Amino acid sequence: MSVFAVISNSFRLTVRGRYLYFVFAILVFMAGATLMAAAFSARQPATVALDVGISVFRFCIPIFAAVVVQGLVAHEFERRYFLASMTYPHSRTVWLVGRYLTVILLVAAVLLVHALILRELVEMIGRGYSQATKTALGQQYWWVVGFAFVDFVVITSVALLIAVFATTPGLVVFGAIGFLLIARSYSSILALLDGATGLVTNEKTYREGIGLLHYLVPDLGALDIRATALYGRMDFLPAIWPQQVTGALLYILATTALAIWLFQRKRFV
Amino acid sequence: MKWLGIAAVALLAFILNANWTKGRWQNVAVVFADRVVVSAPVQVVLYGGDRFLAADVEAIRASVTGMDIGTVNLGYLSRAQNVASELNPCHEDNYYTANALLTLAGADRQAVGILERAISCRFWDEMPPFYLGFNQHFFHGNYADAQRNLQLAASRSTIRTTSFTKLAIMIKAESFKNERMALEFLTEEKDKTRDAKLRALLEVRADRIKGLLRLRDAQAIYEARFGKKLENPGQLMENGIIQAFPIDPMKIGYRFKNGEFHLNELAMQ
Repeated sequence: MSVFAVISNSFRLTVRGRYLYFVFAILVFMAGATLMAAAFSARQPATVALDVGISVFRFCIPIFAAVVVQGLVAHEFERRYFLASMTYPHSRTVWLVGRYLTVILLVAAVLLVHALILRELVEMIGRGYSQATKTALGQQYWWVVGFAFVDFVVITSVALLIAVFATTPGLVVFGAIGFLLIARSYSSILALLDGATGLVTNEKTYREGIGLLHYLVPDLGALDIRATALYGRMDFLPAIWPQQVTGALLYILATTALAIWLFQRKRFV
Repeated sequence: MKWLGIAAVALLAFILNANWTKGRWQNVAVVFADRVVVSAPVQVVLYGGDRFLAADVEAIRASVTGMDIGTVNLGYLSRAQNVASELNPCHEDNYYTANALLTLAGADRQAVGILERAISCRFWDEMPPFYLGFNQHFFHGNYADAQRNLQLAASRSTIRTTSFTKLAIMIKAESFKNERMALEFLTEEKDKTRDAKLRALLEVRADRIKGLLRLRDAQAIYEARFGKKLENPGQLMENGIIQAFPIDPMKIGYRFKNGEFHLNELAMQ
């Protein structure tokens, strides 16, 4: 039984799990937030709309991914479905990789749909008011979407790792959200601490503490390059982006490999 | 049934007790009555590591709740807009309203940081350096910095290069006593905004500057007629050059210092 069979089975499971309602809810939420945010901007409605829309899908799609990982992997153990699914003639690795790839493909499809709809909405809003600095919905926009996809895959991989060893399925979603919060905010916090005197009492040790995170967690804040699309300038792409993306890809490889290794040794009781 | 009765009695007693304690004790002693603005690093975490969204929401909050026709909560606005500017220095609405509301309401020093951050982040935009240069000249008589910023604006502009350069040269020659050109420019900017409330506020600010221009004109007439410096604003009335002093629609007033009329600044910490 090949990995494709596992993927097609997993797809059927997600359809039966009614995750698509979740996708629809995110879409409605994104469209509503985008249109409303634009109404509050005096000078740059299209930019604010794009900004808020990106924020919504950047936060909701990783949660969707974690929920699907929870459903496809963690629930499998909790509800003892593995008693049936593990009897098929395929290795544990093929099973886990198949489920993982299903989530990645779903995330890619969901992201594409959101990105296309957001693009239409922002174009529509942009026609209503001609702003001095226009948004860039062409090449720059797709760069932003591509970087966001790498970010989502990192979070999905971490969710997969948690799902393999977690004893309660709920830990997958909460762990993924916690990871997302830390990985996306620590670099911004370090940069912003300069302007906030007196916020923390012992700033030096605090900085060193957060600085350590740099070795444990990839800097997902750096993968948020939306300023390129918001202001139409590629200069906002950090010069060291190939290294940052490489770091994220290595982290994906490491967490997925660790998940496979743990899963091969997992003892079901 | 017995337990339901006990539950009902206990619930009733609880409600009576709550009614008695209500308003007799306050959990937090309120010493700081002004509005709260959460500092930038904390906001990054609160918004899931998304500094762009945090900046959008803070800017929307400031522009929606920070002003009313003719009055602004300056202390709050200056703190909120500075935090929004730290989170996303490129935010166009934020630097625009900060300049419009803070500067022209007598708190121009609080807007300097926001404009400076916008100048370096929006490296293509001619408006922040123009605003800062205009403020430095108009409010502080800081000709060197004003000229530098206006030349920066001229170098960035595609359609206003000549007018900005002209302004910069006039300032250099210190012969620039005619702020009308700049005022007209501000009026034109005001007409471009979509928000009716903001436009009404800008109208009031423009009237404030017009009052100042009337005073400076009267001074020029006096000095030309009598061939000596004006020492006391009262002389304008005594000699019938003006019938009454212009009334500042913002009720902050004008001041006469070192032989020149200026806008009064509000004292703020």
